[in-house]
Amino acid sequence: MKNRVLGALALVLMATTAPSLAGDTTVRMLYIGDTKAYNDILQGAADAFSAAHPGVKIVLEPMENEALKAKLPTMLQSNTPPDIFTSWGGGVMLAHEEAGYLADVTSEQANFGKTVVPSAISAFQVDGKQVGVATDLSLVSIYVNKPLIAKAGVTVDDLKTWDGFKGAITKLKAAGTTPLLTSGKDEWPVQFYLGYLLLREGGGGAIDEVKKHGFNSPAFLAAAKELVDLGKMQPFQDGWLSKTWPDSAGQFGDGQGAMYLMGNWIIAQQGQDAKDGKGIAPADLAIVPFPAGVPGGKGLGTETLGGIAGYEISAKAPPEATQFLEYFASRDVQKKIAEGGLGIPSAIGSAEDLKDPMLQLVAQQIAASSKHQNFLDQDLGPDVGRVFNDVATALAAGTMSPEEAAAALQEAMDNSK
Amino acid sequence: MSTAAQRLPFSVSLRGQRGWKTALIFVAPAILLFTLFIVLPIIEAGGASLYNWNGLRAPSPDKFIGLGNFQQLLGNKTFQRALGNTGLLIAASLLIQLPMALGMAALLGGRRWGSVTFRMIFFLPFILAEVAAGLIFHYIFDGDVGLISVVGQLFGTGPIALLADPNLAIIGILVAATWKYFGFHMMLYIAGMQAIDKSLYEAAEIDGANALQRFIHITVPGIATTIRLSIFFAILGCLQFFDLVVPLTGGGPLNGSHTIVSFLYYFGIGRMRVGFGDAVGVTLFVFCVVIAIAYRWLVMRDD
Repeated sequence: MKNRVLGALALVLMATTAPSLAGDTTVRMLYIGDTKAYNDILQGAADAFSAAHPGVKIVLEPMENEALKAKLPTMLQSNTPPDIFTSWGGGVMLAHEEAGYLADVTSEQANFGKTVVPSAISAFQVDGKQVGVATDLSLVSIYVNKPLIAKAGVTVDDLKTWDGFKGAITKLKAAGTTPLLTSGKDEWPVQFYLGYLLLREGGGGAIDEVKKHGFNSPAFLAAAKELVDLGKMQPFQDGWLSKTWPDSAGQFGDGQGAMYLMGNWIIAQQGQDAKDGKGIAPADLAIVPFPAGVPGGKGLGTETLGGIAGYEISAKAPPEATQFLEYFASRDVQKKIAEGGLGIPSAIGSAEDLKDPMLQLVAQQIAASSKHQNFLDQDLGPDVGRVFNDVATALAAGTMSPEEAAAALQEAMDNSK
Repeated sequence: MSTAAQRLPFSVSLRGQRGWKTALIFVAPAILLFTLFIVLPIIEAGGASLYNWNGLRAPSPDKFIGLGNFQQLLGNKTFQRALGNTGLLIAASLLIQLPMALGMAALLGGRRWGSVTFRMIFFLPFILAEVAAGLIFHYIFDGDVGLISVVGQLFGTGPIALLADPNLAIIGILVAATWKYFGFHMMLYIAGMQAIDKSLYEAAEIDGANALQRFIHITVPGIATTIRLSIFFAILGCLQFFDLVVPLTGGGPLNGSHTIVSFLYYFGIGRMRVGFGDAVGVTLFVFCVVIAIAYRWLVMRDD
């Protein structure tokens, strides 16, 4: 009996270890896969990589955005974490690194440098250690419904300066048009205002300054005050505090508001969520950089706010995981993503592959940026980042003073240490 | 001992030693599961609540902050608001939901035409998933396309966006919760009423008692046990109230409509402050245990 059990165990052991004895390697990739076109491109890349590297199998595990965020911490603590997984860099990535979950792929920096732009590499470093790479760039700009602003006598050029922008809000309100749309229920769309104002007040180094010396800085307080003043003009749609992001994107697509400060994904989303399923025609949509010339500001006006998203590599991942990520980040694969209008790849030369004129414009603006700042709710980490969203919304709603906002953020920052 | 028990191969009497062993064998799996999935997590949460812990890896000793999380909790304005909102939920439940359920039960308890159909209609919301119910009310309360706002505008009011007001959003949640759960309590009462001896009603009728008198003097005392039980369910349900908050308001606007559990989720888990979230959980656990024991001891002692 005992022998039979041992024999069975040996068989099971052989069966489970056989692939690795034969030199087979499996790379598991966990990513946000809610678009079929994106999934297909990734599957194509996985098949091509496996064909070129016999014995390497890429297992793709697509998940929805929020589900991925909720499940990842548990998966990372298990014995079989995913080898490659979606990340927005910043504070969450830092927490992963501090817990010892991430691989050191610093030796691959030169190889990454051949395929992606430098900011995509530096965004995925922790204290000089390379832990992944960014593959997708995005930009927050003011999206403008041109016919609506024209009716109120506002031109796109008026929106280039902060005073002109506020003047446009007054004119639009007088014309009976809702000037700005946003989502106060989801809060993250509102924080773009505070983030941009901080960049305009304090310049490209403003965020590092705040992280080092705290939120009670002149630049932060000035930015918060500008947001309070903007909120006092009541520029947002009725009931903005209860609107979700899809609600408000649909409102923009339906022409219920003139402008929306949002990332480039709104181009597709406003059409998808509009009542007619089409939204604003490309010819009627303008993309305007966040206004420069905020009073007393040190910023150049060329700093940009946006996303630098990509993939982290797990400490337990085989070397093939890094090789696959290099291949996936390369222009060969990313060309299809660019051509399909699915995003703005970080791969060198990808800007030429973009077919959508709007995405081309966004890519040019990112390329011309003097400092491309990662979303602050990501960059500041999971706790301080959420408080940043809270205070931005409260400032815009006029329920919090700049000093209270600074104190709330400082408290969260002190707690997270 | 009953004859049925005597026919069993072994005695289930707890008096003898053998009885204890038998009982232990039967109880062991339950105790094991209870320990594994209830007692141990409670102890772990209690331990973790003393650390400034982000939920990744086991917390290191330098992250030990004693009662720091509880101190922060006491001073947290959003938590105070969440406590107040939970209190409001309990009040609405006891003063509006349960009396309404009792009234409906009195109306639909008998065998009248249509009573079974209406019972089903009022019970349906309870079966509906919380998230679906929350989304339905999110649209009903919407300021632009919502039913209430549209009807209000017919009568000349401006757009009514209940969920956009940090002070009023909780009322939207109260309405949705009352709609969702009163059918459950109504069913409990109807079940209780059916156990009341019909001859009592006949005797009262012969003595000249009217419907209201019969309700107050026969029905209410007759289902007193059920009422006490449903109050118990209602209070504990309010303390643990969560699912409807997420689709309706997400605790907003401006964190004005959190309950204790939604606060735990958004400020503990959502912000990767698991130690802090555990402190909320421990506090809630203490509330629940104290209320449960006190209620059972003071109110349900004879039930």
